[in-house]
Amino acid sequence: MIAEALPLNPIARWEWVFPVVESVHICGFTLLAGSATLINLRLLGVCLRRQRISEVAAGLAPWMWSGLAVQIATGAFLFSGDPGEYLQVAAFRNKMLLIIIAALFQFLVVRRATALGREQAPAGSDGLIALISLALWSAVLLAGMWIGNL
Amino acid sequence: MNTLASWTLAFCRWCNGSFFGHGIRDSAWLFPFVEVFHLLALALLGGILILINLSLLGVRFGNASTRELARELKPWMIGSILVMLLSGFLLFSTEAVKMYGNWAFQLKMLFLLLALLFTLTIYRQVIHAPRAAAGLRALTALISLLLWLGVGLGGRAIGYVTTAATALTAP
Repeated sequence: MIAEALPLNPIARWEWVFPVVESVHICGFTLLAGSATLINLRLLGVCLRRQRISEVAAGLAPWMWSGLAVQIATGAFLFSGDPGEYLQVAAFRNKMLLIIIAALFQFLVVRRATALGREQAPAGSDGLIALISLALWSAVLLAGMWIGNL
Repeated sequence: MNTLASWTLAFCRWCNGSFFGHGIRDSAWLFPFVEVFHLLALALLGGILILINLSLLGVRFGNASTRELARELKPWMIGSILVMLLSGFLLFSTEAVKMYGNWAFQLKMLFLLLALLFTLTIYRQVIHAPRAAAGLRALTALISLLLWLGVGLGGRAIGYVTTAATALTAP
């Protein structure tokens, strides 16, 4: 069966592999969600008001995208342990969908709203964009938590 | 058993039997509800620590000095730590006696104590010292990251240690 972990997969062979990879997954979460939260709170205008939006975003963006890369890599590894089982869980499928939406929204909308020079022409929609992005990443977190609680 | 240990255990028993310990344990949705706040505050605190520590390590955020960034983020940092402490305490109270014997939880509390002490003393001093040497700033950032990482990893391990203990005591 393709949907079962290959016997050579380390995650299926040693029981300590899963907790270790999951710990890295949590560290990646802090990196991704932490940077995204601060960028969005700045865009919302509630913190770091003395710094330019573009400077906060430019400083944190590489860490946010690295965090996402860590999340995708470790997440795929965790998934490979029992693919068939995960695919049957609704929370898992929701999470995958939400990640795609949240990442696209961050890349296409938030990145544009926090681009260089945007301070000169703040738009009324900035706050809304920040709130939507915060809600999307929170939904990803919620779905991820739900997978563990099942 | 020494006095401190017996007091701690008595406190854990009291938490277990308290109305919030009971209430959250018996509810199907209260635990995940409190856990969400714990994790959202973790994201915020994580972001703040990344920003301040990167600044200590020499990454520039516009013209802002580490001191200015830290000053602006201070209420957010205190707020996120308070939310984590409160939500963490509530989660703890649902199985406080189990946590009493959980080495991962003990390790997490030790790291938490060290991280808080370090943040309130040396960390604060170095952040506010305008002429601190680059090496000292980098070392401070590194220690801060490692201590908070210890808190997080200890927290992640709690669930696995509980599982292992349950498996051992199961018939």
